[in-house]
Amino acid sequence: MSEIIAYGAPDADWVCAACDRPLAPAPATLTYLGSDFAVTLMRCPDCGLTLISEELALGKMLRVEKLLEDK
Amino acid sequence: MDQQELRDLEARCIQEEPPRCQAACPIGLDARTLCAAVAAGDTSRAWAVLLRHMPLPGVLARICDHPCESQCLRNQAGDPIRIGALERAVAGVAATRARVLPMPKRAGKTAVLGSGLACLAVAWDLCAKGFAVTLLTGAKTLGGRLGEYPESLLPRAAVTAEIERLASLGVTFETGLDRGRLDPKRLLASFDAVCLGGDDPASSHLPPEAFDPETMAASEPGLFCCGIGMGGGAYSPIGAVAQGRKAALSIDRFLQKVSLTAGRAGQGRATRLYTNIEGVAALPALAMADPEAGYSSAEAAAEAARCLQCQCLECVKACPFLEHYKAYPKIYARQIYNNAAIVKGQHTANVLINSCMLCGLCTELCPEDFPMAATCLDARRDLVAKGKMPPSAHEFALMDMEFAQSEACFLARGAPLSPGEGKCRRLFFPGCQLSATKPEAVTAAYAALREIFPGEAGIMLSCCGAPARWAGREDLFDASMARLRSFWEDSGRPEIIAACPACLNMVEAGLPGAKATSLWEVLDHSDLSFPKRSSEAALAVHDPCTVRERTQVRESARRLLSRLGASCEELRFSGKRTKCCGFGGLLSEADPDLAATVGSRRAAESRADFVTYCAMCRDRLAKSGKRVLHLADLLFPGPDLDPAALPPVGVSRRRENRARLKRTVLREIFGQSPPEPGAGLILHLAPEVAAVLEKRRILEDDVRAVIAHAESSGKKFRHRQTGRFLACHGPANATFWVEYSPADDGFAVHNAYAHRMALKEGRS
Amino acid sequence: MTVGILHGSAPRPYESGHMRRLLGPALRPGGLALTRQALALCRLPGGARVLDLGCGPGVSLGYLRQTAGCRAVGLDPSPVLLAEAAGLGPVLTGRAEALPFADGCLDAVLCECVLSLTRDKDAALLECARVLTPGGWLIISDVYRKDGPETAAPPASPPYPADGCLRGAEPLEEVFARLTRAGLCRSFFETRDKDIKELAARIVLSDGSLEAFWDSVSPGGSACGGGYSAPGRVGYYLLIAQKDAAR
Repeated sequence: MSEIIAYGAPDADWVCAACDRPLAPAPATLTYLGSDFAVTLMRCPDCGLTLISEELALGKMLRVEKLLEDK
Repeated sequence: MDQQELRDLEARCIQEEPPRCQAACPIGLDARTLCAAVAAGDTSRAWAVLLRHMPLPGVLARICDHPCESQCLRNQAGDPIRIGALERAVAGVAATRARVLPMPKRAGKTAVLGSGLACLAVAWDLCAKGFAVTLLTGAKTLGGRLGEYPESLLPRAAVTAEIERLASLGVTFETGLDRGRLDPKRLLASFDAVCLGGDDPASSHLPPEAFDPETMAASEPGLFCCGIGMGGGAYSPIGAVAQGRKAALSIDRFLQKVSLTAGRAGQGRATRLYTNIEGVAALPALAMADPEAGYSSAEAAAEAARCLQCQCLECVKACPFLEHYKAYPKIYARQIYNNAAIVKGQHTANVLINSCMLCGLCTELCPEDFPMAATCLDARRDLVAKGKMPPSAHEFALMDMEFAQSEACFLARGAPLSPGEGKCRRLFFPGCQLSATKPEAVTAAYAALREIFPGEAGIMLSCCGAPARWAGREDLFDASMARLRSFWEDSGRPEIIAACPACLNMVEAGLPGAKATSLWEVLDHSDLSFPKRSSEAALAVHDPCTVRERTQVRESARRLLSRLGASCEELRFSGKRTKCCGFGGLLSEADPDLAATVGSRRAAESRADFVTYCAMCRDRLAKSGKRVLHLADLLFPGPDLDPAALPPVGVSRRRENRARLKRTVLREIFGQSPPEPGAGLILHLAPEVAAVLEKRRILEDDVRAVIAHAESSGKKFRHRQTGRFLACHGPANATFWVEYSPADDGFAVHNAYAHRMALKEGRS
Repeated sequence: MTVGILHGSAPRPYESGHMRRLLGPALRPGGLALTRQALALCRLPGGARVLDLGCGPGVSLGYLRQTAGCRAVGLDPSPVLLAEAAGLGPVLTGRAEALPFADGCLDAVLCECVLSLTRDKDAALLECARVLTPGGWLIISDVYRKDGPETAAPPASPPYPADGCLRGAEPLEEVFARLTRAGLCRSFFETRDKDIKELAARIVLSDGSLEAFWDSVSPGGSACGGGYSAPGRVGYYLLIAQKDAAR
């Protein structure tokens, strides 16, 4: 499992609607502009649907996108 | 680039050519540096210049007859610089007791017959090189005709000082000799070389019958001459010195038994240096308060300040890139050559090589057409071929090109609803940058083309491969062109109509059989009516650098502007002399700071709003904060009230625009794809939610696509407490997330956000 | 990893478990891939005598010995990290400014993200030059400071956790000048800014921001962060230098 815990506490409020299962931390790879990052995100253990919360998308991910885009 | 190519290239740059004064001087005196020193009041530096070039500077500086002045470029803007007077002023105040370091003694004894200025110059040069010199004359005093100058001009003391210096360096003087001692043939027996001086009345009774003016060698081996032809009114101090110097060099070579003639540059060579004197005000020479005494120090400084300090630097003055590296093309050529020759690359030269905008302005301005663009592009290809091109240099641009050619964005179709399946007689190629920044202009322009050429106009959404060519990646460029060629052939070899002049250049280079023309020429020649521009304010026209050689395109753009009722202002550097916005050659990738400087400097060249007809130019200039219109904003106005104020388009929005443009064209013009996913879904948004979507630039169509995908695939999350759904969908470069819940007739949208980082597939 | 003498017994940043996991096993941007590239450029013969200066937990040391076939030795002042490295090869405690080796006895010195941590960089480089055989290689990968008016000069005193390498980051011109002073001739140079951007990105993904990261590693650490929160101002490079063959 990756050291980088990208998800936050509120992620636990979501469940997978199709499988009706709570989510669990799982390894995932985020990629942008040719760089890959091994992170841990919340995922449905059955179907693998992976959650990216608003907090993550507009917080850390946005900062990383800017960082990688900046020369 | 091999050694010979480097030399040829270096020779094209004239910056190091001597100024006219120096080229005209028989002893190559650097009067330009002299003037700089005198203007700065730096007497010792000025004196050092004289000492470096002149034999007997204390004498010659006072009486030189300055042929340099007749060539001085200043005479095209007033009076030539009074170089002679400046030298005299320096000699008057500088320390005359300058130290000349004696060289180690060399073999060979020379006799100089005569003590005129020419002979003294021979003695000076030879003893400075360590040769033993004996000067013999029938006169009782030394100096020949030097004694005829008035004391105020050439003080006797000055002559004496130089003669004393010669003596201190080992020159032996024998004066008052009778004719018998002055017989050259006898002297040749006891000396290794003999020089006959013609400018000393007491010795000039023995002129040689014939001599070679290039080497000053007379008929007998070891016999030389100087001071010839100085009789009567033809006496020229600099001429005498020049002959003396020539003779001394010949004697030096003769004593060393090497060729007298090899590698001797011709005298009085015209210089190739070009100096632009546009705008230089004509100024007369400074008057002397006391003509007999010459210039005072203050007067000399003022006169020397009139010196133009001739140099070329035409290209450097116009191009921030050439200026940035603090040198000029001749130096850069060598740096580039060295970069290639060394096995492990130097950091600085790589960035230099990748920073040229390849725009050709320098070549246009250069009197010798220095090919900086070709040199840098070749160097890039060389780096790529050797595997030395740092991948980061152009990575982003190449990725962007790849994206523009990917399934999400690429489209190639013949004319819609045309009888011949997939054929067209014209092919609209808007280019990847216009598609990325103004997709609505693409659809509008395509509609216009379909009106002008009913049933004939196909469209191709792709990238022309310019980033690949500029990055030195001919492999990728060829692949790009191959795709275009294939469609072009299949669709009946249509005429290609390109909105972007860079695409035009690439198509002409990569698809030589194709007829290619610019969208602006087509619109100009059409009789479509365009809305009149309401504002009266003049627009400054920024020609993209890619139209440097395309007069027709530039004229069409201006005629269109006129037709639109826009009054235009010509920038100083426009048309053939237009400047790059900073995107050319991928400068914005290699050195973003320099590219920003290029953009802002260009933007500052006029207070007026700019108008241009290249999407990248528009974006780069907008990036510097400049108000700038694209010609399409005027021809096909959109909903924006003030398009000149639109900010530059960000990286991810560009990609979304391209992808959406493809889908729009397919759907609305070719009716060839399923409707936008979710079309027809009814959405309910509370005002605050609508505001959030607006701020985050998320379109309702994006929201519909997410919800449609989630409902049909079942892939969504559910909130434990609220029961709302959360789902995502990412067709192109961004992934959109929407929080929603079902409503009676559609869906209520509670929130939406997006991100560019993508989840990699391939896990469980 | 040479860490200067800290005041009191504050934990050394590179021993922090969190920092180590983020930096990756090699404790620096670029990881082993960078080491591999550098060694390939030097083309060391089998059995070459190599010093891993600031070997940390010994990842490069292990690679040098097992994969590259070098007679490699590790040096580090951190007893905690050396304890791990000991399993991968012979190790010594010591500082870069006073290398416990004879003159001219090493074929290569590997200096990965170490120079910026060294108190006296000139002394360290002179030592490297001393212990290298003529024509020997010095491999340096490290951070550098990009020029720009907004780049603050590093703060002069602790508790900035730098005895971290960002504080020791210098402009490239200074790095090059130091090499020249030590009699080392630059033969390869490449910027690896992508590597450091990826490291910064990993830190942001984990800790939310670079400031938060520094705070977690050393209390109050981000207070002195200043310009170093902007990763655009710091770059990373790989440089290979050679000791003059004539010496």
